[in-house]
Amino acid sequence: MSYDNESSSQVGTNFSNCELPPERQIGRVIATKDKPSTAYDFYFWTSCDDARVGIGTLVVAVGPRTSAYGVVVEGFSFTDLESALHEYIGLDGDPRLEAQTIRPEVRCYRAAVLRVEPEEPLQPVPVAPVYLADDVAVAKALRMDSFQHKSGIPIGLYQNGDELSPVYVDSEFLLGPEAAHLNVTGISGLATKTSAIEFILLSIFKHFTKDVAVVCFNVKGPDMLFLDCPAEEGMLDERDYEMHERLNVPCEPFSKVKYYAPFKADRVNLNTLRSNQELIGSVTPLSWGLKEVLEFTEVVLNRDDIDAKADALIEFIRQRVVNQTTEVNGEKISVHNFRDLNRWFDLVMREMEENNKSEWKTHHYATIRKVYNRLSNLSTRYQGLISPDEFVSDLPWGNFEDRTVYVIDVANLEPQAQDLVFTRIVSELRHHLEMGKLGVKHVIVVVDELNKYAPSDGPDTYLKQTLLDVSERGRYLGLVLFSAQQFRSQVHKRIVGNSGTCVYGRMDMDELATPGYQVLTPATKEKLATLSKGQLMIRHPHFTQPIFVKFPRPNIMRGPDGIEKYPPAEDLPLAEAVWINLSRLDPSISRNEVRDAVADADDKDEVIRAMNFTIQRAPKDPAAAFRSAIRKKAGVANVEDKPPVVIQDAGSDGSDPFETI
Amino acid sequence: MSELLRRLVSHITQRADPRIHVVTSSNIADEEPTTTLAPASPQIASAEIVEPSGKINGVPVGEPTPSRFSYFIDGIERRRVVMYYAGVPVLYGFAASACRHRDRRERRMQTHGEPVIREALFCPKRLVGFCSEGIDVIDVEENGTVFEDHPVVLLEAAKHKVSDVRARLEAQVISSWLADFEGTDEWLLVDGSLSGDYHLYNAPNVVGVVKSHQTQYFPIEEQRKILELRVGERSGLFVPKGRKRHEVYSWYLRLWSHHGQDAYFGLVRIEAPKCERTLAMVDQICQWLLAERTPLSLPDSRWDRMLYPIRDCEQFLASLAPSKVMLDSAMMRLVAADRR
Repeated sequence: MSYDNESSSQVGTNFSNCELPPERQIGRVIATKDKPSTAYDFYFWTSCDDARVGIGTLVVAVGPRTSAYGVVVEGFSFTDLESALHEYIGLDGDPRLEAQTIRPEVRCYRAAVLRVEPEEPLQPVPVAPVYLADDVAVAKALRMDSFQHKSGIPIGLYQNGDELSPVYVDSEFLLGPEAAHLNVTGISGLATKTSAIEFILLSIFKHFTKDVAVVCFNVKGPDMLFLDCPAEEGMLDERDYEMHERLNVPCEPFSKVKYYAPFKADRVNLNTLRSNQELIGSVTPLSWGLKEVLEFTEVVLNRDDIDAKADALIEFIRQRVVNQTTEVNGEKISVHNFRDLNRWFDLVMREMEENNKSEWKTHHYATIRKVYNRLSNLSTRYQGLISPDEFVSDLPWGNFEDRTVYVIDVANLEPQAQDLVFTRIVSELRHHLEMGKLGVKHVIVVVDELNKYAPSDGPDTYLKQTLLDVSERGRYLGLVLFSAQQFRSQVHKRIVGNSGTCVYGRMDMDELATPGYQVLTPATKEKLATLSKGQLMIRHPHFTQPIFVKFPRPNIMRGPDGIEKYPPAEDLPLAEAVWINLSRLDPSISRNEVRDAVADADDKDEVIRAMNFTIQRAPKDPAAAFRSAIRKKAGVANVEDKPPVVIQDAGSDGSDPFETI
Repeated sequence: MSELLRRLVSHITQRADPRIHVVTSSNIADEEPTTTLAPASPQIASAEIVEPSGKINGVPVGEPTPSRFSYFIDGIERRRVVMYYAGVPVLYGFAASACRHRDRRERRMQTHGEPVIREALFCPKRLVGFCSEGIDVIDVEENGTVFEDHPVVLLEAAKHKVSDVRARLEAQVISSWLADFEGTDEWLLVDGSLSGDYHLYNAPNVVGVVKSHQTQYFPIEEQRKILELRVGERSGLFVPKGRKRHEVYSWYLRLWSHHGQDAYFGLVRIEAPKCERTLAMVDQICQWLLAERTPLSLPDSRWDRMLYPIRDCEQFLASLAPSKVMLDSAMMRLVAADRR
């Protein structure tokens, strides 16, 4: 044959910048007037029988001087048939007839350029043979070669023909400081979002070189309540284990998980689905007192309530009253809890009433009564979370441990209480990270259901503001947000916009039709709409185009499985619940001992007070401490000392006031 | 660019020969590619009707049956005046032929063996003293014929010579196929008249389909009967006379209804080796050819007579031939070289 395609002589030869074996060649670049090659995309054709190419496949066009790495974003196939009518006529309108010859079918693909070597000058992709990327080419295409061994976090496996190539994200762009945050989106019900986050966290724990802890907010059902339990038998298959091994991520649940949940309204049973007898011991109560809540009154009070005057009074209370001993109406009072605060308000208002004053320390009576009304019922409204006494059970601020997951179960709290929990915990995390006194230098905050907590429309909430703050400023502090939702388009733009890394599971076509997905080709959208479980599309600052990867099912018990295996316990009777709570301090504590002490108590409140007192102090002998803390029935010895009633002589000038009557 | 034209550019650049006049286009040259074997002008020839009983009348061939043709051969040519040498037109010619194979099970086409290609400059050597190493020049008067020293006559002779070369290449491919597949169940369908060594075999499995009707073999009354053939009907068998090649059996077949169309619409002439087996299989061969109507070879303008596998051959060969853009580009470089 006299003529030969100029580039055909390159097949199977070595190139200065990219060497790929001939068997990996899958096609050749085509450049026509209608479909020209540019610096950003190119077209190539393949054999119809090549099952290795599809949307998302990484390829490399190897020219004599340039290698262009690309990801397939569109595919089309055509024959020489110009009109359907030709086929109709040819077969006499009978689709059952077979033509003598099958028309040649050409498969063409469009690839978006990920990287060109050399990078300068940036030129259109050459007409050249196209190869399936191998491990090395995948690393180059995704620019992973620059960070893979330094700060790479395996996030999944790219299906590379018959093989799987690990895909890494750069921890400096996932956990800061260059960029940060991860956002996962996808339809509900496939368990992809939760599983993906769990796997990525496991990978971070294994591969991140610095210390890191995770704070998970469990916002619905039992999703994240069994992170320390292995998956049910048969849930993982051989492929999952292989993928874990390939990614060098241990196929096991989190080794260190600490659960926190507020009490229920009875203040003894924990408000969590992880209440099975076998597991409840690992759940720590989350209970805050006056001091903890007062800093976040704007969160729990109605926005309309907090005008400048009320705010000034609250600030006064925060600075001059709480945890101090003050004198009001001639009486000294120390305010440590909500009960004390109520009493303080009583004294203030009594003083004003007795002295017929409309103002007290510049605060108007109406303001004082309004703030009193609002604050006094907080412990009632958020019963279980806000303690009326001084009992505080909180996260281990200052003692966060590396590679530990802290799960805060807020699933059963009302929205405003959830607001309070989110806001306070994130604020404390930020504060402690700023001071460098958290115990770890990086914290990942995991929040699901952003559609609910940070919607693009709807009112501004403190939680939304908190999430915005984390997403905009958190990376400098090491505070990273891993968020998830069903509809990315309906989440606040700045939150998703600040997510350096975005993960997409199977998507709804309606969602894909929204403007946020305009950058994706129709084929990529179609693929997103049909992704199977365990497949994701990833966008990361190092990847100039979205990449499809697979990830293994983590060896973690799914929420519904956990509930089936460890059914939540019914609310326990007082004595039993107290025993469970005290058992956390000393697992050997005797049930009867606690039951006897409870039986001796005056009332339920007294039992709870004594229980909280004991938990708070964490004594060596909790049983004894609880017994001694409890005020027994008709126990006069423990009657609270009250100042003696002083009857003042109104006629202090010596005259008898009654004489004037 | 074609290797020959590349060498020609080099030659012209190196030797500033004032007798060379390079042209980028010519208003007298037929630059359109052609694939027909049609002679330049219509001809009347004679024929001997052998079946049925000396009549040309239409014979229904029956319903189409799955075709047993599995190899297909076609040829193409490209030609273009590239220069005048001392006033004599020099034609660049490209001819090629290839055999394509259709797998019986998968029914997909692929190339069988290597295509044969020849490109050369065509001119009368007695007038053009142009020769250079590596540049193939074919003398249009090589068989002893001396044409008038008229540029148009010489050009026509050159064009015919290109067609001759194309025909020789086709014959070469057919002969090669016959040598390989003699005695097997494989059947070959050739575009155009039969050529090659078919006469050397007893009953070679080869059939030619002629789309052109420039040559008529019967008086007008008989021609009318042929034109009245209905779809699925064939004419009687005849042996064309006055043919340079070895004798064949031939007959006409209507592939598509010509109702409301040109009288020749869907009408092809078939050639098969002159042997008893052809007489026995004539209807069966027609049934295969009727089956080959699908898929349609549209958008080819000759789709009513062009069978799809033949078009596939043609498309394959077209991909090997220098495109018009490539030729234009080569001409521009020739002009530039000539200017120096």
